[in-house]
Amino acid sequence: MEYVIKASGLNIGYERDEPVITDANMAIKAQEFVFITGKSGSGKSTIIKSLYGELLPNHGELNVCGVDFRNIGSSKLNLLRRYLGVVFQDYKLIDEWTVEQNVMLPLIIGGFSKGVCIKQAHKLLKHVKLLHKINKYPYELSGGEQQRVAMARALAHNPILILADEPTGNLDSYSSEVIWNLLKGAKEHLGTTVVVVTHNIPSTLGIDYKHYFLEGGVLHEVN
Amino acid sequence: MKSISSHFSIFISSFVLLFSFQFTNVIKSIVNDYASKIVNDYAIVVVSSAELKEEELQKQIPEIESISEISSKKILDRLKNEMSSKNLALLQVALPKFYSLKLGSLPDKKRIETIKQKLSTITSISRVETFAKTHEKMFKMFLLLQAMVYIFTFFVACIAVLLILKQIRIWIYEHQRRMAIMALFGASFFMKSAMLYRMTLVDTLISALGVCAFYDIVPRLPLAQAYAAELDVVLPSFDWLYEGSVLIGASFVFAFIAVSIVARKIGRV
Repeated sequence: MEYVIKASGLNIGYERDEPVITDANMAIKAQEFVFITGKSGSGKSTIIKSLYGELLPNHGELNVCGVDFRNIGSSKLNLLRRYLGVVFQDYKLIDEWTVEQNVMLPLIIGGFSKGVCIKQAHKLLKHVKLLHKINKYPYELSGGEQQRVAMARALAHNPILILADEPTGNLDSYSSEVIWNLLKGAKEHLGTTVVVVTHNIPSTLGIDYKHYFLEGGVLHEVN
Repeated sequence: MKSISSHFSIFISSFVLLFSFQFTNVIKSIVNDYASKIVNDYAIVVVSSAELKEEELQKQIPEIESISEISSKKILDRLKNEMSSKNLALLQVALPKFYSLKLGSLPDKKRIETIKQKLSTITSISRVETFAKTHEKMFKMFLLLQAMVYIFTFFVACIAVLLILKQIRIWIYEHQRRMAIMALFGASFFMKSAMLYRMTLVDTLISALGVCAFYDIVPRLPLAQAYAAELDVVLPSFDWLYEGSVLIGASFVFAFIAVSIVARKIGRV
C-alpha cells in the first residue's frame, strides 16, 4: 500500500448537488505528516469527515488504507475505522464513561483483553500527563485535559492513520504542546500517518510535512 | 445518580408491565374459579318416564358433564300421612323420574334453548326446566366479570405501551451520543447496543423476579387469605416453573424489542 490516502476528482457535500469540496485530489503516503489549512468554513472538517466515512463522497474516487469508498458497506466502514485514530474538534468523549474507559474504547472495539486495554490506557494517560485523573469523568476535566484524553484514545490502538480536526483549537499552550508532541511522536516512533486540519501550522514542530491549502472548496498542494 | 435513575426507570416500566400482566392472570384465574362455582350451582332439571343414560345424553349434548337422579322419596314421605299405603305404592310406580343435569361450561341463553330443544326431542322426557331466568342473571354476571378483566387488560396494555414508548425516547436521548461515538471508532451494531442490552436485560430480570416474589408471597399472607375468604374467592398460588418462566421470558422479550427499536433508531441517525 503505497498511499494511505488517495483521492481524485473528489466532490464532498452535505447535499448531493451542493458540494463543499470540488474536484479534490490528494495523495498521502505512509508515515507522512500532512497539514490541511484554510479559512473558517472552507471545508477542512468536511474533508476529515469524508476520510473516516462520516460523509461519503458525492463523486470521485477515495481510497483510505486500501479501502475503496465506492459502494462501501457498513461492515467495511466499521473495519476501516478500527485502523484509524480520530481526534475531533469537540473531543467526542463519552460522558458517562471515565477517562480510563474512554481511552480504552478503540481497544475494546478491537477485541483486546481487559488487561491489555487497561495497560495501554494507563501508558497513554501517563504520556498525556493525566494518569492521576484516570477515574474522573469528562465533565470533571478542562477543555485541554479533555482533548488530551481524546488524543490518548486516538493513539490507544496504534492506528495506521491519525485524523485530527483542529486538535489544538482553543487549547492552552501546555495542552497544545502535549498534543503536537504526541502527533509528532506517533509519526516518528510508530510510523503512523498523520493528517491534521488546523488554522495555523506550529512554527516549532521540527518535522517535514506536506501541506494542503483549502480555498473556496478547492484543495491546493502547497510546495 | 444519572445511572441509578436510568436503571430505576427501566425497572419501574418493566415491573408495571409484568405486575399488570400477572394481575390480569390472577384475576382471570379468580373469575374462572368463580365461573366454575356458578356452573356447579346450576343444573337443568329433566322429568322422564324412563331411565336416562349419561353416555347417550352426552353424545347428543356434549356440554353435559354429569347426570344424577333426584330422589322422589322426600315427596312421597310428605304424602305419607295424606294417602293410603296402597295409593302411595301406586303413585310410586306411576311417578316419573327426575334428573339433574350438570353442565361442564356455562352456556349462553341461545345454547340453553338448543339444549332444551334437544332434550325435548327424546320421547321419554316429558318436561325440561332450564331455570333460564336465574341462569341468565348468573351468565350476565359472569360476562360482566370477564368484560371487566378484558377492559383492565386493555388499559394495562395501553399504559405499558406508553411506558415503553416513553422509555424508548429516554433511551434514544441517553444513548444516542455514546452509540454514535462508538460507531465512529468502528463498533458494530451489536457492540454499540451491547451495553444497553445487558443493562436492560439485567434490570428487567430483576423486575421479573420482584413480580414473581410478590405474587408468591402475597397470596400466602394471612391478611390476604382472610380477605379472599370474605369474598368467597380462592387466591391462586404462584407457579414458579410455568408463570415464573412466562414472566421472565416476557421481560426478556420486552427488553429485547425495546432495545432493538432504540438501536435501530440510533443507527439510522
